Amino acid sequence: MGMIKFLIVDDEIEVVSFLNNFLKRKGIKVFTAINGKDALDVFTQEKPEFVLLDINIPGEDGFSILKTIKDLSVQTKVIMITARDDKVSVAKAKRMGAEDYIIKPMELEDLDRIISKHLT
Amino acid sequence: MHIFYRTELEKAARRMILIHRTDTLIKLIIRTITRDLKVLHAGIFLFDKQKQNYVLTASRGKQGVKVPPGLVKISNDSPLIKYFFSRTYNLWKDNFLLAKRTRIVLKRDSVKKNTKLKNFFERLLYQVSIYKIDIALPIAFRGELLGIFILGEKRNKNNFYPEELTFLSILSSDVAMAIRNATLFDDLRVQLEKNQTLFFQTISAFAHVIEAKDKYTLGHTERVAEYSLNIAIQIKKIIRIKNWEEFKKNLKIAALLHDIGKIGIPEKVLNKRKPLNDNDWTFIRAHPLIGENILSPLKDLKEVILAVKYHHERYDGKGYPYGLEGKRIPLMAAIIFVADAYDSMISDRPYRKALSRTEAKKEIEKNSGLQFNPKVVTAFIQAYTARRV
Repeated sequence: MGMIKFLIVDDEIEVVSFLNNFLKRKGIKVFTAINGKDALDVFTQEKPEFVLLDINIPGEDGFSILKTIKDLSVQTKVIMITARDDKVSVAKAKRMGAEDYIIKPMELEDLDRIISKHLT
Repeated sequence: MHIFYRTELEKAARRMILIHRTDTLIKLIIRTITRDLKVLHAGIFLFDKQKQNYVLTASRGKQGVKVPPGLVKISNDSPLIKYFFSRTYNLWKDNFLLAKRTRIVLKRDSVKKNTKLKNFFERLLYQVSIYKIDIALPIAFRGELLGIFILGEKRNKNNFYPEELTFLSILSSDVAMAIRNATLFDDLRVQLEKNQTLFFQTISAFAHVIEAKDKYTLGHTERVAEYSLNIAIQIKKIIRIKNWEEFKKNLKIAALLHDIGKIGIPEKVLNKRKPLNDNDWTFIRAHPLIGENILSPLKDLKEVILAVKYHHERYDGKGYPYGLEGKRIPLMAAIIFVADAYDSMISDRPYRKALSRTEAKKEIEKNSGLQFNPKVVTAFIQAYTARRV
């Protein structure tokens, strides 16, 4: 069985590095991007099964990135990271096909749970 | 080793007392810890009262290892927190948690056989490993767990020395007290801001009482306040103003209340269409003094009261009520005079239609040095050009 591939998209390099290390420990192959363009480039190239996407990247439209990913590959599982309990964004993300969402600040155990849930 | 840490503690303590803001304080402490103990990373989980969990608020250290601020939180009943709260799990009765112990304890038979303990330590070990914690310390004040320090291992991979543990312990309790104080300051600031909002709302309410009487002045006081502020911002560039924040605040209050004395003027005079007679003028001239009278019990508003009293004094000394001249007229009053005159000119009055903004501006310029303070007029023109009035 091959390694699961994850793409993490967040404008903060610290966040991307930290989550990279967190996921690597689980034997996941991690790719990272800090803006929309890189995210789509990496996505097209690596075709990860999962995308962890920050909805609030400044200067970017998180929803448009979500849409493009879903258009390119509808079976890719996208988990949105939202900065606050923004019910409007969450509803919109779900409508646009995001599989799940997690709110910053998050409990890492919750992230674990969400990933496990969608691994099937 | 002892001397070094005592000096460091004293230095840290002195700095901590000076800092009122919780976030600055915490960053300083994290910096001190990473620098003095040479650890790979350090961070602090701080209690969030509203959400009832602990958020990683500040951190320092190697990228990828250090926990980014604002990304993660741990709940009230997560093992890391429970360890410090509950006597059940703190098997060493120490004031710190060593990662090594967590690993070793799971090998003990007494723990392996006790499902509750076993589960707890397994989950604790998981938390310790995802956050790369080598040691964690509680930040407690009188039984309240305000937060937790987490430290990564030392760069040289050595153990922590007893003196270092003592240093950290003492630092933690000092931090707890300082955080508590800073939180109290924050709470106080919030209360003061709430009070200020209430205060300004009350003043606006009073200003509206006057406007209600004089049907031509709806919104006038707020506009005068806005224009006054924008003129003041320009005048700050030409005249030195001491205590700018105080000045701004008082200017706003004075502008909102400048016509409060009109409460003593009969409505038929205020709304008269025909020219005013001498009797009418007596009322009009009195209103700044009535305003002063009304506000006199408010001891903290001395500057405001002077502005209200003199807001009809003319630069050439031909104003009222006292005929003050030139620079003797307080700046605040001079500003309000211009703002007030401007707004009156561009509004309809019972006795004439409104002037255009350009015409009003020309009138004000014409009266520089006569009615109005020349510097205030200059500032007004700047504000006008910038479309701020």
